[in-house]
Amino acid sequence: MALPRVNAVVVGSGAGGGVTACVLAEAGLSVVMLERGRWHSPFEERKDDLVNQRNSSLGVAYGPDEDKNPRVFVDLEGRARIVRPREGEYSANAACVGGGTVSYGGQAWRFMPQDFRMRSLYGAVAHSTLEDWPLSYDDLEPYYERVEYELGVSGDVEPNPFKGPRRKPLPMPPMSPTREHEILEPAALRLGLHPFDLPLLINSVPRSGRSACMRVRWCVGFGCETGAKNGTHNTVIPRALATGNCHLRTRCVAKQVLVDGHGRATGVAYFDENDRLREQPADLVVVSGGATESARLLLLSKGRLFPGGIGNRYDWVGRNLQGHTYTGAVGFFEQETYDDVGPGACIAICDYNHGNPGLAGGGMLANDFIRLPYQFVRENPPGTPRWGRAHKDFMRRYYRRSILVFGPTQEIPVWDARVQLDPEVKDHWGIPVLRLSGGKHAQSIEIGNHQARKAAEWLREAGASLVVERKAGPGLSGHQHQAGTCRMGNDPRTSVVDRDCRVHDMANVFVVDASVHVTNGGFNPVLTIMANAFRASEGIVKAWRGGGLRG
Amino acid sequence: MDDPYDVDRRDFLKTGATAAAATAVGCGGPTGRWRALTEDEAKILAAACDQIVPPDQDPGAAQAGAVAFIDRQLATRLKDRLEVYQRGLRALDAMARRRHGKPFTDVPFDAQTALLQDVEKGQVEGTDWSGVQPAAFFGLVLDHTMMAFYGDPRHGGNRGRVSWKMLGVPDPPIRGRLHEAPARPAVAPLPPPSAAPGKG
Repeated sequence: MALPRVNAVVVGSGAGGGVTACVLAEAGLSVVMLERGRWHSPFEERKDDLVNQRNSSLGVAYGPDEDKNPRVFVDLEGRARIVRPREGEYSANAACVGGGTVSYGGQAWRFMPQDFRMRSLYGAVAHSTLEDWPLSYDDLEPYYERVEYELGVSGDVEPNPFKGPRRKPLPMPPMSPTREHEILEPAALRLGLHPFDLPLLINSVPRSGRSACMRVRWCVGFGCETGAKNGTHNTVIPRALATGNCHLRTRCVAKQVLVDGHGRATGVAYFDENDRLREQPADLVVVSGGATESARLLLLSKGRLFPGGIGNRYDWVGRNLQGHTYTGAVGFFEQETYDDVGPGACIAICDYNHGNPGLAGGGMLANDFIRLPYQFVRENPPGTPRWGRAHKDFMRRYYRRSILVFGPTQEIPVWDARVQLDPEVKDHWGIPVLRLSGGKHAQSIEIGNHQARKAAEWLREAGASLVVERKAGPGLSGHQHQAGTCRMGNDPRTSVVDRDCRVHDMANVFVVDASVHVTNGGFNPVLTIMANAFRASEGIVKAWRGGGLRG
Repeated sequence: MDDPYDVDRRDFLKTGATAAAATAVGCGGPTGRWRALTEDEAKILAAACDQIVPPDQDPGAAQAGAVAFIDRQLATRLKDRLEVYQRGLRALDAMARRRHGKPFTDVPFDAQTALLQDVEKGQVEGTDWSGVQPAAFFGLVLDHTMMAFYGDPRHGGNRGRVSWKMLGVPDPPIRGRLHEAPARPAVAPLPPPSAAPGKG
């Protein structure tokens, strides 16, 4: 059944969709935002250490629904199996109002200027689709600032000499240092490195009617019970709704973008909360489902002109899936390092993001975010027993006397790391599910292992008596930093969307999330997703006002 | 509120002892207080859990409710693992009888350790383990026992938050800190380690 026509449908309410809906609604467009999950209130947050987005051993806390949303994962040996959201191979991103921004750690990184021109900087890399962005850091800088001020970022990045130019400091000061910070900072300085208080989308002081961080140690992976963590669910989405122009429909699962015979989208078909198939007509469609689900929706949106799905004329949709190769080191100390003061990661260095001899890039290093006792079980040094009396002694001795330094390596994209529609398996609504396959580029692994060595050096200098490097594995990357599947580019033959995030060959369909990232930076990507969403949606508003998008 | 599926070690052994006579290992459905396991399966599992996290100056996994945790998961979220558990526990018991002439639960602690080390490495003989991969079974028990012992008590394990107390994680760990100048929690002196990593 068709519903009254609106100006825009935004599919997904995470980092990209939340910002886009806000900008469009505030500009006066009528917007319907479809979200497959539900609202999560701070008051219902119960911090279950076995059911959350960081450790999903017994399930995910913020969706997607475990039983309704299978996927197929193909391992490096070519064996396919059905996976559920709680399994790592699924590459789950939270499915709720706010998406991953409800439960993220909130690291609020700007990419560096070099991150937008990886191909120019490092040249072609064999067996890779490494390319420059069609944007520069300078294009995004004003929008980074908007995110920092409109959503709220704390920290102090001034001591970081590697950062891109910025006009304003962060709007909130850093939080007081934790014991890990006090141990790591002087060690970094002695090594000639440049440590600083990393940026967080978390209030260090009361702001926008919400409280300051309560310093809970169990932060990443969980919602914030005080609302001090700034996601789209408590900033831009309420703004969008307050205009009266935006209607958010929860528990609605998009089935396809509807396309007419002339290459224009006419709306979105979706299943509502009662599993009824509905059609929402619209002048324009914004796809913001995250890099795996956005690619899926494009592939599902077949038409006479688009037999392989929209944007997929040259078979680029779903390819170049990349998250981050996380590597680092665990340092074991003779002194107490643990003070149970959150929110977690607080000190970082960007000394190894670029300029590593012989390597195409690198990544940021920071102290690790969280220490769930169950997860620490696996940190025992190689060659020591995993269980029994020795295990228990290990836990007693080192849980409070260890520091983890980790970081996201910027990956070298590969064509065969991808999502496709599975030919057989369907979800609860009868829609073909995603099939994930491929692995990492050898260079990503090499760079990751370099980062692990650098993390180990830092920990040794900090006084660790034993340091264990955590190296990179070869498997497919994606997870919560998933990106790259609908690449942005000027050439329609080697990309899916143009620099305005508009799908090539489609007048009125946009992809606004990390799918469009050409490369994913050596950083948590959310600030870049949000900044690009501000930029792209301003462009959509401008095009709308020019009349080009009206059906 | 007390979880009806939680039992402490003493109750557990008592129940296990009476039920042992009545029920053959691996036969029939769940019995007694368990949702998925038989009493005998639960008894073998408790001994295996206490190998993973043995009782010493701090409680072991069985006392912390590991069997209650695993049983509950096998009846709900991890239903698809029940058969592996049933086969694996039966095989472990058969292996104990073959090597030591008695049930796994009656084998002395150190000999139980040796048996499980072989299961972990897949070094098993005869037909005891036909239909179940010993190393895979061990991996499940290991992982689930750790979840039970170190995870949130709401799932039936970590009774009395024993592991969090053992680690010096403030009890409960889920609560805020005052914003500025956080009062550092008093650092409890740690017990002297009885072994350093690498020295087993």
